[in-house]
Amino acid sequence: MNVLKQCIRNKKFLLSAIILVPLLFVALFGNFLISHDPLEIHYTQTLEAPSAEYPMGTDEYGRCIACRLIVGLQPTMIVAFGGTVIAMVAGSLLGLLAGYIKDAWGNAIMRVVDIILCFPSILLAMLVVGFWGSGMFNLVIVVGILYTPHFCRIAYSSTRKLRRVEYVESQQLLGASTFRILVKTLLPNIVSSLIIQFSLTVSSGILLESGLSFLGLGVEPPNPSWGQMIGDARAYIATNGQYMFWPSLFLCLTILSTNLMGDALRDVLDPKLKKSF
Amino acid sequence: MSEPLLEVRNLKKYFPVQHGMFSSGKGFVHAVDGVSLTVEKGETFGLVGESGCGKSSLSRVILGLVKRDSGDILYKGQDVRTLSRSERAKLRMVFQNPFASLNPKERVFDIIAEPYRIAGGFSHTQIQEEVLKLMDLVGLSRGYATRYPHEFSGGQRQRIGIARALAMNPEFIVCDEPVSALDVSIQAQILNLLRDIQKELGLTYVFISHNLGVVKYISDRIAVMYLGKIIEVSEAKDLYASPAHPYTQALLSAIPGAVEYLHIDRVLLQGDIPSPVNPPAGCRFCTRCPYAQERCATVEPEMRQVGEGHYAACHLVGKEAE
Repeated sequence: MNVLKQCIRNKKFLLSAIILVPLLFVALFGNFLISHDPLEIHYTQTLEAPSAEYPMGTDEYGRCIACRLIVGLQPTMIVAFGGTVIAMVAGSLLGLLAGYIKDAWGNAIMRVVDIILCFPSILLAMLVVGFWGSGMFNLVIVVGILYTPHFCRIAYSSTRKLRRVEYVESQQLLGASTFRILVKTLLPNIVSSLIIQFSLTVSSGILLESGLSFLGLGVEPPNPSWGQMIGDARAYIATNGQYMFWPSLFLCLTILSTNLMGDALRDVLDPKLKKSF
Repeated sequence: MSEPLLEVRNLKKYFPVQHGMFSSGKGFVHAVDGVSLTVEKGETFGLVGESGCGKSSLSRVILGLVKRDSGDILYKGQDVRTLSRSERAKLRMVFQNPFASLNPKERVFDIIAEPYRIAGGFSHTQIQEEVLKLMDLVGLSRGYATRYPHEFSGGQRQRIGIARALAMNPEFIVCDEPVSALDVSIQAQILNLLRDIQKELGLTYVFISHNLGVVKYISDRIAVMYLGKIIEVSEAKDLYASPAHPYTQALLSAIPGAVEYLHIDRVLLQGDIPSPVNPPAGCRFCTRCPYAQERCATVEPEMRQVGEGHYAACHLVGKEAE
């Protein structure tokens, strides 16, 4: 409970929560908040300026930009959160195992992880999408694989530090199984650094999904997503700047606030690092 | 009475030292280099030596936390590696650093309950009963059960560690410098606690320390280690009254006040302890020994009897000495 109190007292945490909580709400319940069908085309109302009916104007097919923004958040969030959860679970377990056993198998795990890290992330994502097609499920898996190394390396180095600590030796002496030592003894002691990495990775995931959608490799049109909207708006940047402005603004705010959240969590969970702002 | 509980024969453990990825030379730290000892049931076997002489490595090899390279470790006449899980759990350890030996994320209750949970087959009420009994035994208030280790002082933490080591009725406990991290005022409390518990439960201890006063206080027999070898074994009283090995003499004379009270001459050693990667041939102590002769540098001394139950590894003592 102490952690929660410290979080609330942390200004960065509060600021990011003020932005993130409504965003998550919109991602979850966006379908109930919209007044227009985000896919419905109106050829007479293309590229309109903001009005009472369309608070952020319309796009090149006369669709409501505000509604498309609201609906477009969901796939981005599913890809970013889903992928990061997969990465966190897989990466933590692999890292724990590799750090604890530290023999040839442990080395093998870490070298594979290093290989994945060598790929530029957007390139690997494009490869996978190119082979297996786009679609939400594939994107979740791609993000999961791409960010597994981040968690794996953090778990590995933290475990390396702890594997010879006396409370671990005590467990070995009592004949505890490797699984018990990893999950019950070591994991609670390294989990705070993993949580910090989680929020930082979510923001990378959002950016990656937006990047892919921008390139036309993400969510399939006509379903909206933010990156795809920015990509479409590129053609009208000179004549209708506000079309580009809205999705860019919200993407910025989302990334900024998730990063801030990560910073705030680091301040709270890792008191050894001095605050820096 | 004398019935050996633990027998160690010619135990060796070398740790590889790597100089770097591309260098060909590979050395070994001779941490435990041919140690033999016998611990009898119900006694406290003290193990002294300076830092880095292999005391802790020896204890970890005996308990199987570190794999041995060669030699035998027999517990009740049976190789420790072939002991069943429940038999294995009779061998325990009290750790040196009470700040590292308790999982900071677990409550005191869970720490002490862990042996029962790992063994399995205990109901929650049984575990609760046993844990509270253990907390009474080591002098911890029952109200502490729901607290975390960081809320306690070093002495109290060590009590928690001792309670954990006593769970599931152990027979043999290695105490690896259990008081060296504690304030002097607390040391006596913990030592008395260990001694009282030993009497009450009939335990056998191997007690490791670099503090000669502490070892003398608690041990029945004492072994002195130097550079991975045991160089002298004796009843505690004899060792302090008539140390045979020159190293033991030097060690004892370094106790503050020893020259006055034990009536021994001060022996000042020259130089540093040699590297355990490259220990001297012959007697390990010959590079610093004030009485060193030519054969000391080439021939390794065997253990020789110098009194009843008193053995020392030195060419200059015992029956065959001129």
